[in-house]
Amino acid sequence: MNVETVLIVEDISEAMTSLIRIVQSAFPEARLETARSVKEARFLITQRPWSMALVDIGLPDGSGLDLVRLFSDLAPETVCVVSTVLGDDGHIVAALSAGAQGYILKGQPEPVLLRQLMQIQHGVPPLSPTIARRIMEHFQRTGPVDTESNRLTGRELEVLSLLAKGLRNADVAVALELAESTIATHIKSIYRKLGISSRAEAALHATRLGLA
Amino acid sequence: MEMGRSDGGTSALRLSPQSWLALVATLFLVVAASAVWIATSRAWMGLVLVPSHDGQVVIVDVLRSDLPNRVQTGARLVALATPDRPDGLDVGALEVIEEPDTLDTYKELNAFRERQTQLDSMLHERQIELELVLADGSSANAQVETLASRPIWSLPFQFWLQLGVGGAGIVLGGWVWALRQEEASAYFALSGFGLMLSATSAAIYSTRELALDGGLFRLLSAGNYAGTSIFGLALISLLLVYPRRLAGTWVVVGVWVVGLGVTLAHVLQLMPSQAVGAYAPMLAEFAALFGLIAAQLVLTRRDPLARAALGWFGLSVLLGTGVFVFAIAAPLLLDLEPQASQASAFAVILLIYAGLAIGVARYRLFDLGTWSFRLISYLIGAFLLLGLDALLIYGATIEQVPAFGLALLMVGLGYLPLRNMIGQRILRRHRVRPQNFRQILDIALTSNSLKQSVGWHNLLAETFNPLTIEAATEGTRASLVDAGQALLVPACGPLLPMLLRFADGGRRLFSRSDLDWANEMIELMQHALDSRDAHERGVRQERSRIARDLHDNIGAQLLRTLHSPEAERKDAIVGETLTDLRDIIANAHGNGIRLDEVLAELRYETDERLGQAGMKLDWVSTGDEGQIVSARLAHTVRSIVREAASNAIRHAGATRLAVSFSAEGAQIDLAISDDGTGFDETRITPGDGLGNMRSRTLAHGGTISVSGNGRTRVAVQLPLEDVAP
Repeated sequence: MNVETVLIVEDISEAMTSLIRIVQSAFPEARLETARSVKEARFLITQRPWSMALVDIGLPDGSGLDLVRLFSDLAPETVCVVSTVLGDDGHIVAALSAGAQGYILKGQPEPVLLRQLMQIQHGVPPLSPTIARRIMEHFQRTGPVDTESNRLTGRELEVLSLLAKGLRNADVAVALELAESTIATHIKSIYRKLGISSRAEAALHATRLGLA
Repeated sequence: MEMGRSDGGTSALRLSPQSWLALVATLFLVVAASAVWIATSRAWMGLVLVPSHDGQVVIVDVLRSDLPNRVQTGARLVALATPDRPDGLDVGALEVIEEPDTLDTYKELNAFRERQTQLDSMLHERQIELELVLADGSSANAQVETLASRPIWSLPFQFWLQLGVGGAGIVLGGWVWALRQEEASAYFALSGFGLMLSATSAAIYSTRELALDGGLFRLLSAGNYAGTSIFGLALISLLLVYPRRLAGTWVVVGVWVVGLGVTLAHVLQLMPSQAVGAYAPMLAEFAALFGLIAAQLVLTRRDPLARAALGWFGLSVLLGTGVFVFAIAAPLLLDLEPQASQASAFAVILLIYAGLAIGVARYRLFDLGTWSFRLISYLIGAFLLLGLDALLIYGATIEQVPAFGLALLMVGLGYLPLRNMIGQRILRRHRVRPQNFRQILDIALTSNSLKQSVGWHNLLAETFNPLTIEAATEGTRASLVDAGQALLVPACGPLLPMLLRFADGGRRLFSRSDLDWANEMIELMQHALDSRDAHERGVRQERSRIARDLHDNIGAQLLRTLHSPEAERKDAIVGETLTDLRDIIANAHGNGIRLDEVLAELRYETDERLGQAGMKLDWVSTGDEGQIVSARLAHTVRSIVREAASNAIRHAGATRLAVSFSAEGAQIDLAISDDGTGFDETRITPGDGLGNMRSRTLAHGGTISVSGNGRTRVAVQLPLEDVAP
């Protein structure tokens, strides 16, 4: 997939400068626009189709999670990546549940970020051990609401548990004697199921509370 | 049993309430059994006779099957003859009237009694001849042999009704007396005794088949009349002293002397006429009751509680006696037909006792609490059991043993649930509802102490609806004050003690169940407040832990950044600081960090960095999966691995980095080596990475060895401290 347009939503100017630099070196051809608040971003989302969006979670006028949801509702084809400084696990899992295809931690060195961004764009989502662990916990907790098709397969669980131990995709591939691209497919499937199961869980909660 | 001390002129046997009630119930049962015996030991024809409008006696029912056919429903009984008295005796409607007191003059009354004596003696001759006029107008005679006694089942409903009214009177009077032996309750009990005397006497003579012996009739009439007088005089005495004392003892004594004098005069036929003698005193007594209730209402105007109690009781006394007076007595004095049968008028008198029950339940009339109902409810259950048993044996002629079982079953299935239902209505047990629970929690969690007080105040007001809520000065326990006029709610945490006066806007007194409820609420509130305090303590501890972590780690690292001359190094430290910050936040519960999670994250991160530099990572870690370590130890391990990785990437020209980690027993062994060119061991300075590793390790009480000959190798031993999970 070609990256033609990128939207960066970020309120701290130094971080913005850094992100612009990274995106420009990752996708030199892409047209790049920036927003500093949820409000500005909401406006820009509807202006044109976006290939990719980097969304900061903590914005001055609201949460980037709302923008992630907006993207997955209005423009599911956009590769939506959340960016965060402290990388609070709960927020990242929430963002993935809301439909984000990846996340980056802004505290990491620029070369690392650059590589991660390229990988996301090539369909290899990142999954740090902590986040993998969180996702496993999530699926254990929401077991009852999952239908057969939304439950993780045994292979997916294996992949997750190895990722949770700190292995990288390539190491997981070696350990499971699979191609690295197969690992990426599993991770994407895990992401998708995470979104579905979160929505199912939300619906169940709503029913319990008498909201639906 | 001992004789009690004298209380204001009232000396009472010291018996337990149950014993008193049992005594009273026994008295009633003896009286009732005597009444049944007297009523059934009469010679019996087997007829039900009523006066007709044309002054004759009509047969409305025939209860024996062995009588000649001519003796049939609808026939009129004109006269009675016996072998001893062949000329016979005419029978008129007067003979079967319910209440001879309704006769106008003593002369008529005496003539009536004379005829009753004659008829009664004829009936006892057994062989009698009835002179009848059949429904078609033809005359007929019938020979009838009377039975020596009247069967118990033939006694009409009115008999049992009046017996029951008398029983209710004495039992309820006895109930109040059993629980509180005072002057007022003595009068009340006396009125119940009067009612029993009056109703039981009337039950016998008003339901006679045709005649009673004149002497017995006279005795029963006197009993009825004396009972009515005692009932009225006792109620007057009661209202003379309760709730406010209106007159001294001599007035009460005077009332009894005059009242009983008039009664005696009537029995001795010294009053102007039978009607005046019988009903004028009754009317006077009613007027006196009316006046006394009015006077009591005026006197209690400053005491809303006494007044409300009196209202119930007074109203029911007036209603109960009023119906009797206006339906029976007044018409007779005015030469009119009474509007109701005397038996049903008796039942109306029971209204007084319903009013009493309400008064006790809501205002602790006679200072009796709602608990007192429990006592009477068992007695009623026992009576019901006896009554049903008797009914089944005599009425449905069932064998004794199955009859008792059946009666028990009926009481169990019918009365006991009803009793519980009524009990729950009267004794209304309060339970803290989920809604109250939320309110209490909301109040406990309010940080503003003024809002907290207001919330508690409002909750109490809503729950008990008292007339006033005042600040109380003391009190550590919830308690009833002034016999239930007020409820003391003690201080609870920051909430001040309060005194709630007059429950339900003054419509009732605080009861034990209110007290229980208040205690439950206070307990819940105390618990909620304690929990809040515990939570706040936890938050404070957490805050100080975070502050300490921030100071020890973040503060120190920022300081290092500030004084570090190299831009690259600054970046590295800042990146590290951000990770540490994540730990501090993620570790917000203060329970430490799982070592395997720290290692996984560290492995991932190191692999990423080495990958950037085109290097490989060999990672081996062994140890307990769920080991928990402090955030500080995690920082140290991380910073050593990072430092070593940075050195390998920057200086050594290495292609691989090997990390081996083991946590066995109480020690962590960490060894990091690369395949690079090593470094000059003499150039280690306190400001650079290796110096930093060393100081961190030493701060943990660990040991470190670094060798730079050939390849770089760092070996660290750290003690594994215990962190509770």
